[in-house]
Amino acid sequence: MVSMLRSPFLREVWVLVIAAAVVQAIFWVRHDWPAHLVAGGMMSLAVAASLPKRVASWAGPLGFLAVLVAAILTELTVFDPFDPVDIAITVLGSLLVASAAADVTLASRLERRVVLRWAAALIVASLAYRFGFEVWKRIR
Amino acid sequence: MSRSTRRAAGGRLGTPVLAVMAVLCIGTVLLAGWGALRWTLIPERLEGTVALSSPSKDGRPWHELVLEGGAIRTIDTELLDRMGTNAEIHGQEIRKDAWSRTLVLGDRTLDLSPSPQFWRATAMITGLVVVAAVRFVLRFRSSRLPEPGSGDEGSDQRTKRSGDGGVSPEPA
Repeated sequence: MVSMLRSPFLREVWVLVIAAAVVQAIFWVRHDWPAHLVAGGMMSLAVAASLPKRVASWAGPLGFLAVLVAAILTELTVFDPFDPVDIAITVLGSLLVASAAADVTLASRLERRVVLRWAAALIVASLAYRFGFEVWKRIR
Repeated sequence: MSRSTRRAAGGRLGTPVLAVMAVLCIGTVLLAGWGALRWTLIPERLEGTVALSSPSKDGRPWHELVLEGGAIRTIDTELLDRMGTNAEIHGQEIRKDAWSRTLVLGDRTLDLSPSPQFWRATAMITGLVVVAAVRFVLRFRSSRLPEPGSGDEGSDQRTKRSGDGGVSPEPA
């Protein structure tokens, strides 16, 4: 927790949260888009934390490609009907944190482990936000 | 991590990475624009019979248009309002060429144009892509700057200051 607070990773979390708040403010009814954005960014950093150091400079584009593939697959299987804007917003999260991806890949093993844990937690939190609002809309 | 450590470990971002990121940024904007334009049906090719329309789970600005056979298109509510109510459009033939701005619905022809939702979504995503691009360019520039006192100032340009204040090539 302490190392997470010290790392540049926290700055990336803030970037994603602020961007997600902007998206939510502009499209008040789309609770899925902020979740897509945060999940895409966090997944990209998780990929960056898993890459070998020798490809650190390519961590941004590689994270983007991983998120793109995951977004297309989930859009075709889970988030019906297929909407390319959902995919664009998911990869947008990856673009927003691309500037920090190389640093995450080059971080110490301990720091990368912390990034992986927090990324997983924030992906789950963003999905909970998305599906929580969906359930709430149905109940209402 | 210091800049010199980052560079030594391979964190220096090369021009190819910057070029790839530029392509990815443009691709994201195009994907978003195409996706948002699909809500107006402009890029779509349609041929079939309308079964029904229903409110989209994504909110009031969108509806789902269901064709017989099960094909579903998410469309702007504003477009559906012009098409008519469920009772009016049910069983009507719908026809449209890809990228055509006219839609034939039964014996009517509707003109299609980019909707306010399209402009709003595209502008928002473009703005955030610009923020991402600026962040990446700043990181790219900082990764290429020499570490102060590291002795490789100006190594990118392979130049050094000569005694008369001019710039002369550094021997390789």
